[in-house]
Amino acid sequence: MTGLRDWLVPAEMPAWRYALRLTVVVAELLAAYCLAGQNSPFFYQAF
Amino acid sequence: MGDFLRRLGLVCRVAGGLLVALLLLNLLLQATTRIAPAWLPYRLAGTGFRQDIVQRIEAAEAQYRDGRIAGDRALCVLIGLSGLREAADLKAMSAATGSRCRYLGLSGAGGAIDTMVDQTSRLLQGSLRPDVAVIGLAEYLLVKPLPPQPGAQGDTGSPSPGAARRRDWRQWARSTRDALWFVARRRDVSGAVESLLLDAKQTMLRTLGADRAAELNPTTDPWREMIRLELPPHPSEAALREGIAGYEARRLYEPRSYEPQRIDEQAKALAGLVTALRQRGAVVIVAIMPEHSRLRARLPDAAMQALRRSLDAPFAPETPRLLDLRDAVPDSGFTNISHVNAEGRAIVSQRLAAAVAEALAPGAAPLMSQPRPSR
Repeated sequence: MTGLRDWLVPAEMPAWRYALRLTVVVAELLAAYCLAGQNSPFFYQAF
Repeated sequence: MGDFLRRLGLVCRVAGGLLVALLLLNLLLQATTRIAPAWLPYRLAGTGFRQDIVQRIEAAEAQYRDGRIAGDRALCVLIGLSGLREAADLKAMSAATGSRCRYLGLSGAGGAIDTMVDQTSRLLQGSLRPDVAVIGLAEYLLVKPLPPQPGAQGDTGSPSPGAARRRDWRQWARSTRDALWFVARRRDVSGAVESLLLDAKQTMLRTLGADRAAELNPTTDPWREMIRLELPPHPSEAALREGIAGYEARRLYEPRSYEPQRIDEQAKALAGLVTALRQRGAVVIVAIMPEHSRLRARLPDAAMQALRRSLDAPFAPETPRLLDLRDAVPDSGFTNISHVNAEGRAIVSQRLAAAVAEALAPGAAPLMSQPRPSR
């Protein structure tokens, strides 16, 4: 587990900053994915 | 070659980090749905219905305010969801009540009573004073649909272990994808953002007076028919089965779904709406919309009892009139288990118009012709 963590986290910056950057990038990608959904304003899911 | 591998390793490293962040974020979002399911509204309908209703209300207010229509007729508002929206033909109702009444169709779409209240909230903030308000609903609207819960039976909230056992990797990949929070709730996120933006736009247009520009456009005439979805006139056997199964997944056939503590929020929303309409002087009629015989056979008696209780408890002995139309339409008059077709619409419109005519006090001046009471 430690080996994997060492491999994932670069030595050039603190781990928390790297994790924060990754989280921000993922959150931005998710927001873009959700907002790109083309729903009709009159869609209706009856069942 | 060594340099290439080093670079590839860096890319894999970042990709791995992003994957871990994605999974952690997904777990966090799924946890929020478990802890506070209501933080992001679960949408069964688009934002257009609410905007459409607001536009009708504001256009009607403008017509009364500018004197383009006189308050010589009683104002009747039709508040509801898809059941009433598909079932009421305003032209037929106007013909049935003659020149006594003017109908404003304010029915949207959704899966619970509080959605209906939210969609028509603009009515209670404005200057319209309806003489009669028809609230069209169904007893099962007391049960608010919840977003898919991870791991719940029959939903898309968890990867299918059965598919993996069967080595059906396509099905496994599909269920794994659907288990991701942002895939399952994508429509809710975009709907919430869209709703906020549209509200902001409408506020801006209202402030600048630009909402009056389209007054002469017939598509913005507030008295127009309500939106009807293009549904096939008769359901196939598969569509009926799908409808029945869809409601089953929402646990609408279980008597315990209608226990007081489970429906308390929706019951309060209904009571609040009735109270607010009465405070404006309206006679309130609660119409229970038609149901296909196969749906009626599955819904428990507890559902209707709960609805009656929800109206009796806050209002008895002045409980609003309950117009029970559940069995008013034969099965040939349905387009699916809970929406009527043209045949059913003709029947319901006549029944609603008759109820409205009875509710109008003979000789009484319409509320919109009287000076507005000071608050």
